[in-house]
Amino acid sequence: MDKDEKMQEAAQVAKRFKNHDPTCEEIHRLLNNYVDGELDEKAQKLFDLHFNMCTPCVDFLESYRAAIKLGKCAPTPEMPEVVRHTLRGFLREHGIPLKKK
Amino acid sequence: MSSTKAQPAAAGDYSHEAAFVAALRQGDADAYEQLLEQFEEKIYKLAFRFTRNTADAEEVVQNVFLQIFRKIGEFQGNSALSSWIYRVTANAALMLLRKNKNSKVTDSLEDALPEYLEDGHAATREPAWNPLPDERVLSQQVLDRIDAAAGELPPEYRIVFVLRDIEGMSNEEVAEALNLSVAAVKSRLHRARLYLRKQLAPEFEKKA
Repeated sequence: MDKDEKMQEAAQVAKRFKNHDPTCEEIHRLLNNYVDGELDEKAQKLFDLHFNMCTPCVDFLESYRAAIKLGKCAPTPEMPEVVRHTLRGFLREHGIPLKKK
Repeated sequence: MSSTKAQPAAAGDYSHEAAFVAALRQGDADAYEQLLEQFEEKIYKLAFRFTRNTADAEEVVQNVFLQIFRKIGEFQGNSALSSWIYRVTANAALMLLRKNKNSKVTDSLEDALPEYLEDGHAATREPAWNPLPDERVLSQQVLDRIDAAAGELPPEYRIVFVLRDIEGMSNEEVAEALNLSVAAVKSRLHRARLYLRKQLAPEFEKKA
């Protein structure tokens, strides 16, 4: 998305809130934009104002951020030696030049 | 042949990789050894994050290196070699996951959002969460729950979550890697995050 596309998207979000402050549903549906810093200044301020007044949405925001943080903690094991060994055998069988050790 | 290990250069300039890529194209054994040493662990972990099981991750790693060997001639050097490899890995994982249809999700992802009243307020108040413990001391039960929740994400959403939130790629980089629009990337990422939030809530909600 180039700079022009980003500005267009930001303008669309801002236009959405031209005549009203964002509702809780709108906040939740656009929350990724807020968390990732992709709202323009005006929309950002509207979201901040909403969070100043709406404790349930603050709770939702904090749980959303927490879920992202937890998702990063999903266990990821090291590559097993047997997989490493099998990989080399597989690649040699398919003609990939590897040195035999 | 002496090592042609690529060294970092200015952003957008991948000329430092040209010699290494040329050696790969020529089928140089040293270059392929170096490729394995540099990338096999990374590709395996990425594949595991995508597939959430060892056997599938192994199959993806094998397919990725085979594809690199067969298609290195198509790599044009307009991006970093690692970006191209990420793309190959993501697509190899997607193909495998779609074939296996391992996704266990039965709930619609739309259900990951609360219900709303006509005026846009949430119909019920969802409990706040307890503060997260230090990630170094997460219990095995919690880790198992996270593992299960990640595994239950539909592959298309899981891969975007991994590339964006774990690997730190930008929306534009993920869009290019997966041949999606940026809007589609953002939509899938948001749904993945909402789904994880809903699945993990029972573990972390403040109890009344």
